Amino acid sequence: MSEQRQSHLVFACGQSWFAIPADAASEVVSFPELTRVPGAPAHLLGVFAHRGEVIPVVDLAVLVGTQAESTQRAVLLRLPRGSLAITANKVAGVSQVQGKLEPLGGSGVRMHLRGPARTARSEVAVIDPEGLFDFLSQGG
Amino acid sequence: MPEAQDLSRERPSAMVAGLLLCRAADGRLAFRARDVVSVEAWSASARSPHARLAFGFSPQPGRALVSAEGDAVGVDEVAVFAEPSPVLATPALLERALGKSIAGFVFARDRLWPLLRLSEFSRFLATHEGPR
Repeated sequence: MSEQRQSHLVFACGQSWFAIPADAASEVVSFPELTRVPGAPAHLLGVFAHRGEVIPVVDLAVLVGTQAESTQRAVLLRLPRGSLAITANKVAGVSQVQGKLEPLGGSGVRMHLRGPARTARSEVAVIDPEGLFDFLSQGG
Repeated sequence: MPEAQDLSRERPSAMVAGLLLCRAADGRLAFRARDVVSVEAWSASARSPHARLAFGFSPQPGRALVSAEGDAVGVDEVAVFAEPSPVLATPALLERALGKSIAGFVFARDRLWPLLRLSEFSRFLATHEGPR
């Protein structure tokens, strides 16, 4: 895939920085106490109600196997097939991301993270939102 | 990009009246009362699975909800909640979870509860539980 420059929302989940295409990121939300979902994997922290919609909250740090950090803030993604929120312990704002957007792995969630890429301030893994949604909806 | 803290602008939703609100370890579960034909004692010798397993905890004696089909699920506590409650749709991300046993989410007692289909949830737990 060729080198790209595109506006992304950049945020940290745990110790790692991620970028999501700005048009997929609806808003940054502070979520209340989550309702646990029985049988859910560890990266699915729970759900909360937001404007009449139940939103699942995913911790990407748990999913990629890095150190998670507790937070009650998340980036809300609204995709054609549904919504989800990804925890964000820091939000850097919207930035241009530069780099090659190749999958960072051949299996698991890393298939849906792309790079190497960076903003002016940090290296980031660029999330393929549709791919991530597919991966999570199949049990992640 | 606004920073939002939700809570007030709820969409219109279906209503359900007559719920059994249950606790299993630190998890909350709701079932339609009409789906439950009896509430019995649950013990380790019971053949029915316990909902605590779905939250990563070992079963402990409690109550068992039994469906008309004879499927049952153990829980720690059961309370009847008769007031009409709004039902929110299952998020697309979770539609295939738990053997499709999530019927939605309900607001009751100022909290959100997963509304589960009793028989499907029992079968899901029976299929996925480890040794008790």
